Amino acid sequence: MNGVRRDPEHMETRRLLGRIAFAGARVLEVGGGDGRLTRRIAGAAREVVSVDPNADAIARAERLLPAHLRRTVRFEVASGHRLHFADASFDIAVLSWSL
Amino acid sequence: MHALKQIHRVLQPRGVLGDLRPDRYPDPGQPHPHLPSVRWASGGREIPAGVLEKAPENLRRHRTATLELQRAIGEGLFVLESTEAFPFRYHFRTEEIFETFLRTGWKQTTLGAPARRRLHGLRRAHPAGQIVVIEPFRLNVLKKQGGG
Repeated sequence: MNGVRRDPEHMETRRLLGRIAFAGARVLEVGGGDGRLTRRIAGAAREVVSVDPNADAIARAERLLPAHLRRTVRFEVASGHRLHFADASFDIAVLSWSL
Repeated sequence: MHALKQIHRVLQPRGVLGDLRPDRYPDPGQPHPHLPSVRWASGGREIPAGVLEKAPENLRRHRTATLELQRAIGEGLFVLESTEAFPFRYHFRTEEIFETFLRTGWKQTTLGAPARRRLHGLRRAHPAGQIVVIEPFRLNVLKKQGGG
């Protein structure tokens, strides 16, 4: 929504990137919503797969993804309760406001 | 708990889980939740107007989330490496935008009448300003334990 800024100080991103080593990692983000956090962490990781059960949010996340991140980030409509990914296929998982 | 088991499965051995969410109940046994505070920001000052009230189902969900995380640790799925609280801030350019966001984005959230009156008063007293909502937040960093 125009006129709303969420965490413009990057408090969340700074803590996440400061506590977890994203360099070279394959990352699963659960509950990524419209990709606000995805876009902020994608530059630090090798690959990010962001899932959310809300198809509208995923469509918006895809629209908002900058061109330079399109090789790194993939969005999927999925619930954290039913992940179809292979065993031991991610280095990092981020529960994004979704537990 | 099911989501945590799924995440445990797809993580590499010694993989890392970052759990980011509102810090409503850092201790699930605590009687009162941590609620977001609403402030009027003007001239370099942030003046408190009140807190946002959360619906009982929202509070239950947050308490359950903390309990589920504790259970996953207790069952040996993860070990807690670090935990850190921090403020997550929302900035609303106008009161109208804030009201719209309350109606459409935060459906389990209300601003009580006293806080609303105070916010109106602050806006009248300091017209050049904006609303800031500060949500207590927490990052838990956990390491996967065991195989699978």
